[in-house]
Amino acid sequence: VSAHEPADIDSALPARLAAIVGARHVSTAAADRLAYARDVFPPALVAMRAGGPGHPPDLVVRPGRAEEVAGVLRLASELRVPVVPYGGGSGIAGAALAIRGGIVLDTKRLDRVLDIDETSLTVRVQAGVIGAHLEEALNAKGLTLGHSPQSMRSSTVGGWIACRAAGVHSTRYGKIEDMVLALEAVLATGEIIRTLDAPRSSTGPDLDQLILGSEGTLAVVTEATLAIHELPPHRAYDGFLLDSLEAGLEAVRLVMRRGLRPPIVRLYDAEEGAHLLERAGTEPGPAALIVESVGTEDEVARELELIARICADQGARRVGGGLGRIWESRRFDTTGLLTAMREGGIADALEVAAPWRRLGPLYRAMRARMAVVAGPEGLVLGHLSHAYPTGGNLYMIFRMGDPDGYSRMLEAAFAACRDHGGSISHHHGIGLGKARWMAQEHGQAGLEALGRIKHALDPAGILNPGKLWLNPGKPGL
Amino acid sequence: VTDFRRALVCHDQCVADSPAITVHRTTTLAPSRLALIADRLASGALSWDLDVARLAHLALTSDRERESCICGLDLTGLSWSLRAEAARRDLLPDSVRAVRRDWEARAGPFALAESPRPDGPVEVVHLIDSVALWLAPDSVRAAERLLPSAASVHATAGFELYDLGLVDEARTALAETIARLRALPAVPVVTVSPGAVLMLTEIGPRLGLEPVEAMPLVSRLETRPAVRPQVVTFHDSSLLGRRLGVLEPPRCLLRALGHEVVEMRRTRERAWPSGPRLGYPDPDAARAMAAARVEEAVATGARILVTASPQARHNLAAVGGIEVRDVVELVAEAFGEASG
Repeated sequence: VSAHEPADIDSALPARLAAIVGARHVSTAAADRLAYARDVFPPALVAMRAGGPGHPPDLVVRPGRAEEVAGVLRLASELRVPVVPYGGGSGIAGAALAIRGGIVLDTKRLDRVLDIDETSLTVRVQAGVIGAHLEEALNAKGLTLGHSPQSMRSSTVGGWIACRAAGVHSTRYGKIEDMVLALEAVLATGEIIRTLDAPRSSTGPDLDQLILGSEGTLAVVTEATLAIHELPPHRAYDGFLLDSLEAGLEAVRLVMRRGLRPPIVRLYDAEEGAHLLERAGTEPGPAALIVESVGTEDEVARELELIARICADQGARRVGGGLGRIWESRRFDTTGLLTAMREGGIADALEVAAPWRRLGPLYRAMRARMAVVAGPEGLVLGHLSHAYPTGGNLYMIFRMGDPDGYSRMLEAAFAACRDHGGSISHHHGIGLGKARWMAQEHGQAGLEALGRIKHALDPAGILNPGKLWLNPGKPGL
Repeated sequence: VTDFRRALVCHDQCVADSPAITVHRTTTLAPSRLALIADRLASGALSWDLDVARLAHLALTSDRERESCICGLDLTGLSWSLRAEAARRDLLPDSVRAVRRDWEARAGPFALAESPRPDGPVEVVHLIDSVALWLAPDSVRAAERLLPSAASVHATAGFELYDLGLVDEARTALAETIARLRALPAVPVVTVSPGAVLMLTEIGPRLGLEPVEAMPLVSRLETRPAVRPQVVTFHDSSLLGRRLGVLEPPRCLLRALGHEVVEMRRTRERAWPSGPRLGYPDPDAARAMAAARVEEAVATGARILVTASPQARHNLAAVGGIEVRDVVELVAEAFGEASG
């Protein structure tokens, strides 16, 4: 069924799993296996659209408690059956694909918001809660997590933690790793780790940060305590047109250096900005910047005025909040990427990160090399959407007619990324698609160190094998 | 086919708005995955079996996902197609088989009463759908009090059969209903059953039957102030709200009665369904959906949870914890109290 070596499944496995989680929460039905045979990894989507089998697991298991997760993992370790944790299945790096069959462990029965502490401003939530539902529960109490990725209607809290996700408000509230205060996670050998939700500690290495971003290869996250915030009473957009992307990057750098923290900072290059400007009825330009400010009305007005002054110094023309409102009205609409794949091509969004000094050159280099691979019929677009005092991320989006060119595109993009000292993933994670660039990112010694940690925590190698390039000798793709 | 094939490449932006996933907590019920299953059934890569048929029935036909779908997928239409094919292959969950048995015996929800012959001029025909009467007799009786000069027709319009994929049975039921309506003078048909309206106006023509002008009674009512104004909240049923687009008339009626209408968190087109219809294979899940909706209603502080759908009234009233009424009942009481 899969292109990779299948798991050796004991015929008694379904019954033994049923004894742990209940018979109705174990399925070997063909329809269930088909449903879990994909996530949103573009090559997997394209292959399934063409009629391919995808990567169906042998079984789907849906535990309802951490103790049940522990039982499943103990049994899988004993029988050496792969286990792939599966939240919303919204990841675009292929981390949730059961490339060696085995068990898909769906976390969506872990779906409770356990406690909202309005005094300490924390929320304790199970890993299978869908992002939008968590935010609704917080908003009902005048609170927000401040984490709203484009996938928040389909992704889960556990999925965010698994890939170190970022939401569109990250410039103010941070990425998910900045929000995690404590985790409950189950090791492959069945032990349950519960870390403390103290605001900071000095008690040795941070287990939360080790598990964050491990994409289900080191442990299965079952619960998290996250920092939350008051819902701002007022928010407003502003927008600016600039003479170049570099001028925009400089403006954003100075905004961050000034200590301002607008939740939304989106700087578009000419190609990507063109669609937005056209909808706004504005003449196309080399770069467009959207910022959103939150707080009291006075705070918002003051922050937007300071940002406007910084942008003016970079030669920007202020165009008001219309661009931001148009962006917001379409913020969940990913039709552009989907259309390319529906028409037989392929598309993806590569999200890299680098310090400010290297970010402009990185953009130019990636764009140039990607454009060669995309060809005259293809398209390469870029924007920045997560900014820090020390640097920012770049979204490099491509569409091309030939799906087989996907690997060549990533090769070109990540070679440019390497040459300019960028990280190959800011928040989508590595999964399957970027696994073979892990040594480029971490160095051989670094990657081997990660492999040794993996082996110590998961001696049978059952947890999400083939992902993150942590299983030496068994490449992902 | 084009419609559901588009959803094979999908970012699943509708998952949070999918009641079936919220209650069953499985990716298999994601609209894009149901589209994938349909595609593989069509190509023969996946075989029909009872598991697949059960899935088609677990997927709700509430249209709730459409609000956030970026693929243009008509999940309700897809589910109806899958259910119809399952029925054609006689792959029916026990719960659906039981509904079909009731239909064949004209028992339970399909038991029919005699329609009284109208005497004098007929201004309107009141279609009393047998399923509506079975689910919410108080709603139907209230409608009868409000329509003293109407000609009543007791019949089964067949929406619940169609919803379960029992297409032949639905066509038979609807044809019988239309024949009885056609025997009366050509006047507008009103009913408390949104499903009956849908059958007469939209689904009937797709089944090869002539459309009949019909409307939900709630769209035609006028009222007067109630004697005891209350704080109420209104549940928009999937059929009345999303399918028929009747969103404001019931609220206007409630305000005209003097009630204060407070809104639930998910309201109008975005209203969460009260649960599934007849024949749903998972009663626990059905109860959970209704309970979640009642919880939303209670959170508003409303004294009465009002709806305008016999199915929704039935589902919500079964939960308890808040008084559940049909808007038609409140209107009838206002007239009764004012005149009595």
